[in-house]
Amino acid sequence: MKVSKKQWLAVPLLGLAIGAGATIATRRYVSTPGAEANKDCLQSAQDFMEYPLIFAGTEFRGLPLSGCQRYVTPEKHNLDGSVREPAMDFFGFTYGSCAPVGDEGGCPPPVQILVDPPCAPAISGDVIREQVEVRGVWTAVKLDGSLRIETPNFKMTVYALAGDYELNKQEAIAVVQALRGVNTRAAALALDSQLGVRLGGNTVCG
Amino acid sequence: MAQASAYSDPYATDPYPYEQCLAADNSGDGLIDVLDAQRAAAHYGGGIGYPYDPQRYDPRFDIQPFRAADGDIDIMDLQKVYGRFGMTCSRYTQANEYWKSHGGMYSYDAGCADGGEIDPITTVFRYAASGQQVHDDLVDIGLGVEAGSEQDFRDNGACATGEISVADDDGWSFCSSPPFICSSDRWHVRSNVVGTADPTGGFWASATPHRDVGTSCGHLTPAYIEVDGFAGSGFDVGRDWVWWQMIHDRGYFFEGAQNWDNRLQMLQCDNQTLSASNGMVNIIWIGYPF
Repeated sequence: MKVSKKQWLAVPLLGLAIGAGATIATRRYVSTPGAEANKDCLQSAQDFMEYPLIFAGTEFRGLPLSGCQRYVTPEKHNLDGSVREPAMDFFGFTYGSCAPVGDEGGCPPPVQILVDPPCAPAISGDVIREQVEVRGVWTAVKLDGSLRIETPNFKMTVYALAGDYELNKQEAIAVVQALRGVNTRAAALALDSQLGVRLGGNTVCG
Repeated sequence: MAQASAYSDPYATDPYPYEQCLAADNSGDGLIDVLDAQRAAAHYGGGIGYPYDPQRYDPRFDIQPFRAADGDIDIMDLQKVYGRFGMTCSRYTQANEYWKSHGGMYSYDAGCADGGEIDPITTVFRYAASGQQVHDDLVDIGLGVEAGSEQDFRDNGACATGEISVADDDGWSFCSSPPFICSSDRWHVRSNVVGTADPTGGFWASATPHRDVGTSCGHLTPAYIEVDGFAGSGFDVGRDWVWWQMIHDRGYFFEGAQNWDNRLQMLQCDNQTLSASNGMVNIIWIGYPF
């Protein structure tokens, strides 16, 4: 079923900082701080109250926080009216940048943290290659070495592109070790906290 | 079409083999066994009108003809269960793991190296998804223009160039006049067809449909767009648009949606826009006259 405009909730919240004025000659990861845009982005994230937001601070291993953005898609329906795809709502933080090549197609900034509300749909078990324990929670390692964490307060996916599966996994674990709260909903989440720590305003998934 | 594999069975070439397997597994425990047979037998003779017993009728057991209930539960319905005795429907889900491990979750730049991800795979065509079938169906839904630069796909452990790249516009309509924007909006699908059968004996293809927006830097996949009644990122509306065309307009079978969580945010050509899929992947059967 097509989506009506009325079903649409919200749109990109925040401006992005990546690449403001930066000159990037090749497709390699580079730092493009865009300080002013970062400030706006952080402020918006700190004011965001709908669910806990977690990130790795304003920089991770020399890569500056280069962007944050909220993605929302409405519920989708099958032809018989049943739900084909639940509404999705997540927040992305990116560190560092990259250089897209050519007239189409993008490139992935090297470190990304995607934070979902606790009722976000579960990922397919088929994409999970192994599980590891990080900061007190079982963490799924996906086929590409990225991590998926699910707690009663939030769900999140962490990408750290380092070259291959094992390096991606190790780097992503390092990112998880650096996670901390952004907004007041996640204020209790400090660097030395277990990720399963009880945060305020728990959501009951229906 | 289907070819023999270690997982082949006499029902694999039936329409909806997975759905029919699930219908026969009326207990829902994943195995078609005596429990399913007993449950079906308990409704034997149920039906609407003479000589059937309406009290014993339950449409869940009226599975022959499949998806065309004839209003009675007779020996043909029971045979649908007995004939699958010992079968586990999970054999069909094995295809899902196969797609991801053999086809990756993104398109890539040359070489398919980690870090070279470009577009997320959001649609899998399966059943009879040969290269010709995929191409013909995409052309039939309006993507008649060969378009776009090459991207690579992971394919059975190797890196292969995508076979298909089609769009509804060549994307370069305004290049010669002010404001000298040299690209235009379009629906664009790249697809990689795998020449070996998946565990169900069918062929499959992974695709990265998306909405291109023309900009002065080239084609950009937006973080959010509303177009033709669809809303979301350029990757999400591309997936939804193909779903609508294939399921609503062409009448193909929609197996379901999965969350692959392939949500890498992609920095677009303007060096500002980040765009990501929401990670959902539609599984669509094509090439069979459903």
